[in-house]
Amino acid sequence: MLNVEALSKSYGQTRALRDVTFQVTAGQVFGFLGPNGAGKTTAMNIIAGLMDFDYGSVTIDGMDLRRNRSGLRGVVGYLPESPTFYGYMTAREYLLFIGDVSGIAPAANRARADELLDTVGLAEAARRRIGGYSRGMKQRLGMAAAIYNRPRLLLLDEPTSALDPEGRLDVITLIARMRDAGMTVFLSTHILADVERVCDSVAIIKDGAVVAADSMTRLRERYIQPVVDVVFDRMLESVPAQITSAVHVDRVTLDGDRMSVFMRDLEPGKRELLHALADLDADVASYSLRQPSLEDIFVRLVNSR
Amino acid sequence: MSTFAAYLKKEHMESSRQSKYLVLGAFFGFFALSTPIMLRLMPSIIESQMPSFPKELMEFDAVYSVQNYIRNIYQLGNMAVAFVLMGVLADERLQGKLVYPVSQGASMAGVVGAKLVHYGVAVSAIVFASTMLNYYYSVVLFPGNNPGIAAAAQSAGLLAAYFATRVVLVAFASAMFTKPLAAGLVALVVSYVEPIFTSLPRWKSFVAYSLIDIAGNSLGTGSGMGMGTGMGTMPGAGVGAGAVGGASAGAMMAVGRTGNEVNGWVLAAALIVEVAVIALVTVWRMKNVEIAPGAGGQ
Repeated sequence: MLNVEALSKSYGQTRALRDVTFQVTAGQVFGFLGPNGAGKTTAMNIIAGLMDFDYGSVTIDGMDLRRNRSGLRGVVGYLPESPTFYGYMTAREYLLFIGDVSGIAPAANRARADELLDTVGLAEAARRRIGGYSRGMKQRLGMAAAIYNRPRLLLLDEPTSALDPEGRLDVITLIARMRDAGMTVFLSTHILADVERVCDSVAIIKDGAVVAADSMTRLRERYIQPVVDVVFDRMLESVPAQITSAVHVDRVTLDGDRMSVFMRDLEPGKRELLHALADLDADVASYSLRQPSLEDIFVRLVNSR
Repeated sequence: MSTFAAYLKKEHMESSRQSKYLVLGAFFGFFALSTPIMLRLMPSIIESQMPSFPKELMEFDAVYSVQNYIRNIYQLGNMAVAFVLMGVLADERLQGKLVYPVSQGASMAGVVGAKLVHYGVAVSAIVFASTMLNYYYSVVLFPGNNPGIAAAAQSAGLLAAYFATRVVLVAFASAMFTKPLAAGLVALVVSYVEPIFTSLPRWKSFVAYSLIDIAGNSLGTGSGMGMGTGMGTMPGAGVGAGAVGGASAGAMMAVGRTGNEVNGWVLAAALIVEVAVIALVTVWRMKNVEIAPGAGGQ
């Protein structure tokens, strides 16, 4: 659906994107992660056709972005991080305006506007001027505008950042529904729990370069460092030397009676750890393998290079 | 075409709700009404201040009154149009308001075209109506030497056409500059410098300011006091009520030397070409400028 190859963009001397490459399969929710200033919004603006780039290529649904801007009409929907509207319009008027721009027939346009206002929970505020909306309401309206003409590729830049927990859940549910309806969603967010909940694949970007891009399953297999948590029946003063010196142990942290052992290689590491624990003069109260999270991958990748 | 129609509707809604029609209408209407009233009161004011001032210099007529309005509105109307419309394109891209329409496939030619047509028609209609209002009050307050409604309508039409070209100029500046104020000031400077070219015989048939010159001259010869910035081909037109003078006084004097030898057909053709070229460059600029929020100018 979306193929980005060696995409590069500079602002003066600053290189915002450096040979960014990734692929998004049709019908997926693709998470785009990175710390502030990593280049996420620049990449999204380029893919949305709002910004030019220095070199590389972007192909959407088989069409080159540079050569087919008009051909991509209706293919891409975009929700920017801080959507801006005409504050003197009501939400319904704005959506009708977007429908007019897209060339939707008047009757279908009115039906679509009402349907989407209901979907994003703005039906009651539909006839109020947007200038008086909260940030969360504007985000919901932005979502409605982005999916108005049923795009095949939907770009969402931090769609849940201004929402309360209930609103976040609504948006995540909506994203899942859009995927089920066959839409491809490209989701940039800082909220890793949202990515874990809904994304099929992920790219992590740092300093304008992609440091990892793969399916969630393969990322977990490749990048998540296994951690074994051991709880003793008494406080330890220091980490036992037998454990720190184990070949497959990367590092160890100690917090009172709880010890976390970060493994380089899980299978031989577990055996090695069990032997080391058996030799200790301390009884083990519990031993558990921690369920790794996307946050662990993100922190590890962003901090390690 | 869907973009053009959608933006035409949107611009009308914006102008109504943000009181742009009201501001422009009140501005031009105020001067249309106040110019003949001030002119009517001026003899009494001057007589009370300077009893020995010759009365024959204070005998104004309707022609002079309308000519006076045309001169004033050239100076002040340019300011109103520049400052009301300076953000017409700059604000749209600076605030990221084009993001949704463009990502939904809006054509930039449609966006720019709708804005030019909407504001061109709106400003022209307001200018035409206010000039006719001024004519009506001038005739009511100064009986005798009536230029006639046909001549007044012709002048009003020329004035309206002049301000339509200013709308295109302001929109062009608004596309070129990221800051709306810079766009407004540049458009204003161009409008105030332009009359200098009418003093060059080879240029005067190519400059929009010639429309102002013809609009004044086509009313005939008015009577009134000629003080300082009189227009050569509009005898008697002087510093009347509310005249700003100042910045464009030199330009006005330059016009005074041009006479009325502008070839109307050449001028019309030249202005159509100029407006078309400026509009196309504006569209080209908007197509190539980055419109993402915070992208700023190139």
